[in-house]
Amino acid sequence: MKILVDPQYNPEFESSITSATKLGPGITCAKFLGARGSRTQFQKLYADGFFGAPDLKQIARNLVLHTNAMKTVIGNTTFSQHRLIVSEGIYEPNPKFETQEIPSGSEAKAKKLARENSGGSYGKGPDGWVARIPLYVGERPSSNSVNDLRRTGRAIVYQLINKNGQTDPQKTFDLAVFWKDYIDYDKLSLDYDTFDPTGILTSQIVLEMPKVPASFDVSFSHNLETTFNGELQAKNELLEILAD
Amino acid sequence: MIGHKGTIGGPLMDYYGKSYGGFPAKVTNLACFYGSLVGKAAEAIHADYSIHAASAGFARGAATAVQAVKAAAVGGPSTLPIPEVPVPGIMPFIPIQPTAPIPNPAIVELQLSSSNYGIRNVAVDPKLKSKITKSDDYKELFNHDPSIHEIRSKLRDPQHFGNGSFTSYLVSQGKLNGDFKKNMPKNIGRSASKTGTIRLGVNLLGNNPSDNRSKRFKVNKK
Repeated sequence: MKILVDPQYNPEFESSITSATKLGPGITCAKFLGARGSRTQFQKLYADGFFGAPDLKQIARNLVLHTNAMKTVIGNTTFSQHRLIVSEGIYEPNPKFETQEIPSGSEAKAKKLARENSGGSYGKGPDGWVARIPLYVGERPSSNSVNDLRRTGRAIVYQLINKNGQTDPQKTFDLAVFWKDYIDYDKLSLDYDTFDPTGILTSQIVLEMPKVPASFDVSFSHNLETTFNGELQAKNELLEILAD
Repeated sequence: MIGHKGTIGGPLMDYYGKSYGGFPAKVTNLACFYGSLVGKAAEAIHADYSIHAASAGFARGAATAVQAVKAAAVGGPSTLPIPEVPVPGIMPFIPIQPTAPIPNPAIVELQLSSSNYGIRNVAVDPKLKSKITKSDDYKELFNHDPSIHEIRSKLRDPQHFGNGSFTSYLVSQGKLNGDFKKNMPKNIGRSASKTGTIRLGVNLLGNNPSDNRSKRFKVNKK
């Protein structure tokens, strides 16, 4: 399926991607960077291997699908009394780097070793020439987990907030059913939890999208699931979980 | 800003302040920009005291003057106290030659990167650092006290959700509900399968006037 993107909001036509890059009417990249569950900046993100900058155009293309999903809710009279927010957007794992010094014997060998490793350098230590290789020892999200997909904007977590500023489990279910019928996705997870110290039931929708190439030619899996406190409750089915 | 050596300012810089003090000598604080300016001047029209001046229009006393139009007394230095030449003391005092290069970005950058008073890499005690950032407490997953939204975000990863020491610390800090692993919901409502859901239309299609004239029909008489 080829996604038609308004040229005005097509990230492929942008010279550079910033938080101010528009993805839709009233929706910029900042919407997915400033979520209260994961505030970050493009400058703080790393590529998949944790060395170098990420492909921001790829992230922006992935976010276009989420923008289209959001547009179906904004202005929709069914949800006019509620507010759709991005509760968990682009994910930045907690980074940590360490430098490993590898004795190389000669300057040429140290130089070669430094060149072979991204971010490497070389110099003369107290025991001779050494190559300094940076090692990533920080957080690594599990492969294909929601947080891993969030790094590239493939997965985004949404909350439907009522007039009291809290998530509305019933209306969130309605939104999940609406999205199930009206938008395309790889996986839609209706997620409930009682993580809040007060024990209040919180509901959110996790939308996972496929990786969007520059041609915007994508295919969707349309998987469904319902989880409660991280535990699967129903596969290929949406289940409404209510407070006590 | 304190330094041993260097030049501050540039051709287009203005300096404002209450006072500008210099090296404190035995006689007086020799440099003060309100009222008196002490030091070496290329030219001075009137000067009470001048240690060195290439030219002086009027001088009450001069230790050295290449040229003096008027002098208060012949042999002035014998009647007036001669200020002593400042000697480096408490504050660094490095006279700048008139031929010294004017500060420019390249010089300033060089000073910042190589000078003892420039930008420096500082090593922080790892234990102190981890104590401040709380990274040890949160198992390197947070560098600050997280909110429930950040915790929820982090627990989406199964490896963190199953990290007992991390979650138990959050529970002990009152940041996470102790029942966060209870996976049996107390109340269940509707359900929806993968197939399309039957729903009532909410949007008006076509021209439907208020009296629904377009929807009226007659039953055929038999």
